[in-house]
Amino acid sequence: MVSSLTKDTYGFLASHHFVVTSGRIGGLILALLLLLLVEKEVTRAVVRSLPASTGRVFDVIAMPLLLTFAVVVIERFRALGF
Amino acid sequence: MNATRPWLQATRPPAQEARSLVELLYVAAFVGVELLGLIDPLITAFGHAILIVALINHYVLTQRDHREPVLIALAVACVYRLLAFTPLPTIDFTNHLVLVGAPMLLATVLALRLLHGPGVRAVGEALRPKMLHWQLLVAASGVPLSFAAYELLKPGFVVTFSRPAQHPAAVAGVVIALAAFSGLGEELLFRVLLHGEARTSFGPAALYVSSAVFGAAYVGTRSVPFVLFVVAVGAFFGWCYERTGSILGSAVAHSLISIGVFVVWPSVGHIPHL
Repeated sequence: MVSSLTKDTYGFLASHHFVVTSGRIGGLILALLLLLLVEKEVTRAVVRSLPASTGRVFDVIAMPLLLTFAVVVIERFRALGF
Repeated sequence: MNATRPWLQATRPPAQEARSLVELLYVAAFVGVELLGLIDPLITAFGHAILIVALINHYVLTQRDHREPVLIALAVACVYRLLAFTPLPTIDFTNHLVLVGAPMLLATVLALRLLHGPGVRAVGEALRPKMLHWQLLVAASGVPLSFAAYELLKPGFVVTFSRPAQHPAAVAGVVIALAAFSGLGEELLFRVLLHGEARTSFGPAALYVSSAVFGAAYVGTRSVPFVLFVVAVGAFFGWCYERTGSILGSAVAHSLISIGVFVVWPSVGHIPHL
């Protein structure tokens, strides 16, 4: 009983080549990560009345995304033969 | 005056009612994204990415006036579902569990630290063996529940002890990964974080919210009986957490269910291996 590995996710990952899935999902993760990081800086700079912990709210989501994106990039390089 | 009409005391202010309604809409959106994923799994990934942005922005913009911690909890659940699509050159069961489970665990701990102060006190508190006899009973329920889950799911990707090429260390690796990320990780996310924070908005009805989200996360199995089973198990684990204040028993039971479904029970049958 693992919700991350269902019939759909397994089917998606198994039916597409790594280059395709890493491009789509890696791209989505990167776009989301960049958006959150930009938002973190903008809210800190513009909305000064927000609590000091606001940056940590973005970190909750950005840190795992960063970790996953790093793994995808490393795997992509390894797939290229580096 | 309210002493003669006790239900009035339980009535919440309209502003809080409105906030709870918005939070309920986010829960409905989570379920909707999972259902839309039945058309194309990529919709689930993109849908959860959109939900994450909406939830985080909503939390940040409203935190000055009031706290809605359930939004953070839902955002972490969305991240977990998004990261389920983490691509790998070869689909290895253990690698997948670690690469999805570790960031999810990190996000859950960061969210608990954000909401409950520095350190991992909230995690330690949830894992404290309170009412030990009760925890043992809940943990033992994992054995029959794992067989029921296996009979309902019968996954096509399994690790068995009977596979000749399967090294014992590899099987041990899967068992440890399942216990750490499926058992402990998912219980911390769905019970401690989601259920715990939903209590601030929904009170006792938090049980329905966490069970619904937990069940929705399994919609991708494409098995209605299994999803209903997961909702029931989620409600049972949530009730145990509510009653004891600890996830120790439910984490062990969840681990036993996962290990049974993917490692033990398939060894008895003839299921194609990953």
